[in-house]
Amino acid sequence: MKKTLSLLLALMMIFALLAGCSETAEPADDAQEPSAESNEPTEPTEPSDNTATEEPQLDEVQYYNINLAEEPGSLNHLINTTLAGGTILTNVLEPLVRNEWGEIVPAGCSDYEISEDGLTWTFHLRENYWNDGVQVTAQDYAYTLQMCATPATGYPYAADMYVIKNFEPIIAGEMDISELGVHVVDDLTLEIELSYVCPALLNTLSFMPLRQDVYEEWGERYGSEAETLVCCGPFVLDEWTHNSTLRLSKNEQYWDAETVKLEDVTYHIVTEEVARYNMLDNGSLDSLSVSDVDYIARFSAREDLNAIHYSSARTVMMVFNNEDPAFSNRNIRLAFSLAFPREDTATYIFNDLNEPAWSLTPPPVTENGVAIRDATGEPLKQLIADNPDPQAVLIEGLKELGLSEDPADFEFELYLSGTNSKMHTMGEYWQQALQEALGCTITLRYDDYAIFSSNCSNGDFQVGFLSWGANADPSYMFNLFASTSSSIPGKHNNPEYDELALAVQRELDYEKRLEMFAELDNMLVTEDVAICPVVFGGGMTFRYDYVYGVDESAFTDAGVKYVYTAGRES
Amino acid sequence: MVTYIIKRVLYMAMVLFIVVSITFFMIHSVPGDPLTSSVMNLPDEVRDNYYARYGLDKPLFEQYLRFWKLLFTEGSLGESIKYPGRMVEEFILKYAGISAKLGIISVVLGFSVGTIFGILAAVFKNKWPDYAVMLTAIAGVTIPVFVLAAVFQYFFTVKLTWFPTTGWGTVRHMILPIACMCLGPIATYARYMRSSALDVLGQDYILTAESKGVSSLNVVRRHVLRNSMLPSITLLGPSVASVFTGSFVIESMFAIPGLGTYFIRAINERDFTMVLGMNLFYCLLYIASLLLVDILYVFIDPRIRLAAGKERRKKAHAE
Amino acid sequence: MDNILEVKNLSVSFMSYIGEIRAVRDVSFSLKPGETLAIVGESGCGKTVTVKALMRLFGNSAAAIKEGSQILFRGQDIVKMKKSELYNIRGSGIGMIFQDPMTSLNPTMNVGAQIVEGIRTHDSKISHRDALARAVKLLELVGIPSPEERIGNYPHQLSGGMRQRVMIAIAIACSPDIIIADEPTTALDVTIQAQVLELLRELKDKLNTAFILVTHDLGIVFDFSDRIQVMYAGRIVERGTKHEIYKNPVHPYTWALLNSIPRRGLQSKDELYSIKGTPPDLMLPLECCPFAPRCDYAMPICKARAPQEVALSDTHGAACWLLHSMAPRVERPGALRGADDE
Repeated sequence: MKKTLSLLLALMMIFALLAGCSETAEPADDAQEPSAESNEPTEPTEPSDNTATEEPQLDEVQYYNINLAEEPGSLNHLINTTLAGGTILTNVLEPLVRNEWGEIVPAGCSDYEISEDGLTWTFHLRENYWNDGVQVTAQDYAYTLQMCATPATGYPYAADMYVIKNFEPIIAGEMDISELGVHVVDDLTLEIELSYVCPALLNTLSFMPLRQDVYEEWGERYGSEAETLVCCGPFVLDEWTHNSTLRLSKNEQYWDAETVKLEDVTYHIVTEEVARYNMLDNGSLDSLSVSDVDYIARFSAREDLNAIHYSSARTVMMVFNNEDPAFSNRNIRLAFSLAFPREDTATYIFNDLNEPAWSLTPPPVTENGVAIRDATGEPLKQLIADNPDPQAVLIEGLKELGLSEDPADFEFELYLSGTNSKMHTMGEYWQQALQEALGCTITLRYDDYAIFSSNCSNGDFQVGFLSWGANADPSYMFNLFASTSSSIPGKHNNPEYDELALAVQRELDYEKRLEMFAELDNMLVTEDVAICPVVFGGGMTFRYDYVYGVDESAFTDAGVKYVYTAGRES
Repeated sequence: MVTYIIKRVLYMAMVLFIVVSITFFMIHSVPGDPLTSSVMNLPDEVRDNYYARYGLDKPLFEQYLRFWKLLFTEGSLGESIKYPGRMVEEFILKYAGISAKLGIISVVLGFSVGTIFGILAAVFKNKWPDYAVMLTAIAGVTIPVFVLAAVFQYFFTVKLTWFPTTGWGTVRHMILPIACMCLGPIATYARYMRSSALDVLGQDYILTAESKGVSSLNVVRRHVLRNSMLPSITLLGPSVASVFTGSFVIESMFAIPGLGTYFIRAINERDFTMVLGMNLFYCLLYIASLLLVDILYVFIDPRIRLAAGKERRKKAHAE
Repeated sequence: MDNILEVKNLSVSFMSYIGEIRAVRDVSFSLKPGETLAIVGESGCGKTVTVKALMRLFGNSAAAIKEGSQILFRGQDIVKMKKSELYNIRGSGIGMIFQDPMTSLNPTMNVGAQIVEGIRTHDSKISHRDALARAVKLLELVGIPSPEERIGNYPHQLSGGMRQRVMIAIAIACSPDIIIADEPTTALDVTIQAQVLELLRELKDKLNTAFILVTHDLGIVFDFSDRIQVMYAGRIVERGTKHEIYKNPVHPYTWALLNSIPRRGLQSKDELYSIKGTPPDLMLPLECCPFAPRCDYAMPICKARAPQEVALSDTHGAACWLLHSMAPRVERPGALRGADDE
C-alpha cells in the first residue's frame, strides 16, 4: 500500500513538473522600447528591425501563414461586422483607394478629382478584372452604394454614409433609390455627390465593388461560402473551411499582379491563444501578435523572430454617465480622472505594451502628417499638477450636490465590460487605487459585452469601462461624443462641442483643422471631463525574419499585398 | 419489441418538445440580443427592418410558433443571425460530422482500451498491472482536458514537431486531439470494468467454467467479458451525446472546425436560432442514444426482455 | 484395485489481511474407482475447501495449498502440476457439480453452449454440430424433457431442478473418473431433491464413476454412499463404511450429527436437537481436540492435546480420546439406537 502511494505521488509530481514546465524565461533586460511609431511614413520595404543592407533573395516558393482570431461573420461586405471578415475582404476586393504606408493612394481608381465646391468627386477607374474575367466597372462600385442605401439590406454602418447625397432619406424609406448621389458616367468613370463638403471622405469610407449578377444569383447566401464570391483584389479566395482555414491565392487578373509576390496565403482560424503561440513557435505561423508576458519574453529571446511594437490606434477609457445624479457634477468626474492611476496601469496591467493616455486621440491619428495627440498636448497633466489632492475636488463636488462632505459616505459603481480574469484584475486594482486616493467606496460590476452595452445604452451605469478604436479620420472619434450619436453611452451633451465637431468637418484648411481637433480633445477631457482616458492600445508582433513587406501603419488596408519571404529555409 | 420502440419514440418527441420550449423562453429572457451591436447606428426604419428579417420584432409567443412552423413545413431550423445567409441545419450537418468523428473514435477507443485495462486490472488484482491501470485511471479522471491538450500540444508539436499544431484534415491532425479526448473515457471505463469484472470473477459460474478445464484466457473471453460489460454499456449511451458537447475545449485548442465551437459562441452572441437548433440537436442525440442503449441491452443480456408476457409463458413451459 | 485418488496430508489455508485461516488441517483419504465417498460436517468444517483443492479450484480467493500436501490423481500430483496439465484434468478427469444452480450457470450463455464448451475444451477436433448433438444426448440422460428445444434455453428460463440437471450434464459431459458433488441438493426444495438424488444414483450405476458427495445433511448419505467421512474444524474426526458409521459411530460429533436428524413421529411441541456452541476460530492453531468445547464427554486431555486417529477396523477409524485404552467407557446416547429404524 505504501509503495503504491509513493509511486503515485512520484508520478504525479513528474507530471506536474512537465505540465508547468516552460523554458525559464529571462525577462528582457529592458522593457521593449516602442519602436518607430507608425504614423511617420516609412519606406515600403524592410520592417524596422531588419537592417539587411543587400536586397534579400526572394524564395522560390512564396507562401504565407497567418492567423485570424475568429471566423469571419460573412464575406458579404454589405453586412459584415466582424474584423476577421474585413481582413479577408481587403485582400480579395479592390477598393477605389487604399490606405498604404500611412497615406491614401489610388487603387481601384487611377486618379480622382474634386469639384470646386467640394461636393462632387469623380473617380477614373483603372483597367482591372474580376477573377472570372469580367472587367471591373464603375457600375460595380455604384452597386455597392446603392445596396447600402437600400433599407432592406440592413447595412450596419449606414450612418457613416450620410455624407453621400440623399443617402439618409433613401435609407429611411422616404426617397427613391434613383435619387442617390452616385452616378455612373461611363464604364470607367464614377461620380459621387456629397451632401456636404468632406475632405476626409476617403479616410472614412472604403468603396468596394459588388457584382450585381453574382449578388443576385446567390442572394441571401452571398458571402457565406468561397464559391459565392468573385474577387478583384490582389488575391482570390480559393477555399473557406469554416472555423478552420481560408486559403487565398494570387489573382492573376489583378491590375497590379506583378507587385504581388505571394502565391498562397493561408489564414488559420485559431481562437485559443496558447495554440497560436505554439504555432508561431514551430513555424506553422509566420507572424503573430502576442499579448502574454511569458511568451513575449520567450519570443524576444529568439534570434529568428523580429519583435515589432505597434500602436493599435485604440483608446481605453472610462466613460461617465452624465445623467447620473452623482456624475452629472463635473467635480466628481474630475476627481475620478485626477486620481486615476494611468501610469501604473500601463506598467503593471499592460506591461508597458500600452502607454498611458492623457487625451482622447491615440498617437497614430494624424492630420496632414501631424499627430492630433501632439497638437493637443497633455493639459490633463497640468490639471493634475494644479490639483494635487483629488479628494479635495471630490469634496467640492459633494458639497455642490448637497451630499455629505465625508468622502467615506460616497459610494459609486465601476462597471466593466467583460467577465474574464483579466477584467477582474483590472477592476480590483482600480477599485483599490481609487478608494485609497479618494477615500470613498467603490463597488464593481462585471457583465459580458452584450449585456454591458445594452445596460449602458439604457443609462444603467455610473462609470463604464470602454475601449474604442480610432479611424484614420480624426473626426470619427470626436463624432462619437456628439449629442446626436448614441454609440458611446453617457449622454455627453455640449452644444458648443457639437457645433465645433460639425464645423471641423467642413473646414478645409489643415492648420485650422488641427487647432479645432485639439480644442475638441481638450473640451472632452479637461473641460467637460466626459471621459477619463486610461491608455492607448498597443501590442507586440513577432515575425520571422524572412518575412518582408508588411505594412505596419495603423490604418492600413493593404492587407498582405506587398508581403514576400526571403530566406525562409535558412 | 416494435410497440416498445414506438412508445419510446413518442416519449422522445414529447421530451424534445419540452426541452426546446424551455430553452426558447430561457434564452429570450437573458438580456441582450444578437443585433444590438450591428444596428446601433442605423436609422430606426432600417433597424426595424433588420429585426423584422429575423422575426425578432414579433411578440415572443409568435416567434415561438414561427420556429415550430418553420421546422415542420420546411424542415429548417432557421437562419443564423450571426452568420447571415447560413442556415442552422447547414451548420449542424456540416460540422456535426467532424465533432462526431473526433468523438466517436475517442469513445470507441476509450471503451475498448478501458475495457481491456479494466479486465487486466481485475484479473491481476493487487499486482503491478492493476496498479498501472488504476494510476492511469486516476490521471485520466483528474487531469483536466485542457491541461492535457496544452501539454501534448507543446511537446508533440513544438518541442518535437511530430504533429501539426492545429487544424483538421489528415490522420496526423487527428492523433493528438483524440489522444487527449480518449484518456477520460479510458479512465472511466477502466474503473467500471475493473469493479464489474471483479464482481463477475467472484461469481459461481466462473468456478463452474474453470471446473470444466477452461483456461484462464478463455474464461475471461467467454464468461467475464460479456457479463462485465453490461454496466459499461449503460455508460455508453450518454457518452455518445457528451461526445459532441465535451469536445469543445479540444476543438478550441486544436482549432478543429467542429460543432462545439459554434454552440458556445452562439450562446455568447445570443444567436437565438443557432442556440435553439443546436439544443434540439443535442437533445435528440442524447435521447436517441439512451433508446439505442436500451435496445442494445436486449441483445446482449438475454435476461432482459422487453415484453413481460413472453417471459411468463416461457417460464410456464419450463416447469 | 488401485486408488484412483490419494490425498495425503492436505492442508489448505486462506491468507487474509488479519491472519492465516487454516481451513483444512492435515487431511488424508483415498478413493477407489467407482466408489462413492461422502464427506459430511457442518458449515465451515472445511469439506468444500477440501474438494475444491482436489482441482485447485480456488478462483479469486487467496487460498493456498500448504507445503507437504499431496493430491495424487492417477498417480500424478495435482498440487505440483503445471497449469496446462491441470486444465486437462479438470472436466475430463474430475468433474464437479456445484451447490447453487441459480448462480453456477452463466446467465448470458444458453445451456447448450455451456455444455459444448466443456466438450470442446477437451476435444478440440469435434465439430460444433457434433458437440451440440452430444449435449442434447446428455440432457436426455439427465432427464430433461424435449432436450432439442431446451438446448437453446438460457438458465433463467429453467426451473431450479432443471438447472441442477444441466449442471450434472456439464459435469458428466467428458466422462470423468471422479465426480464431485458439492451439496448438490441443498439449494433445491425437497421434492426436487429426491429426484436429483435419484438421477445421481442412476448415473452412478450407469457410468460407474467414483463420486465424492459433500453434504451437511446426513439424511441423504446412507442411501447414496459407500463410505462416509466426518469432518470437523478442518480435520477428519471419523471415517468408515456407511454401515460402520450408521451402526457403530464412535465419535461424539458423529453422535451429535446423527442425533440432529429429525425423526419420524416427532411432535410439533418437541424440540429439535442441536449441538450447543459454535465451531472454533480457524485462525487459532487448535492444538487440542477441536470439538472439545462443545463435547458432552470432554475430558481434560481433550482440551490439551489433539487426539490421533485410531483404527477400529480396516475401514473404520476415529480421532477421539474416548477410544484410548485408558479412557472411561462411554455409552452411545440411547436415542441413537433409533438409527436402526429409518
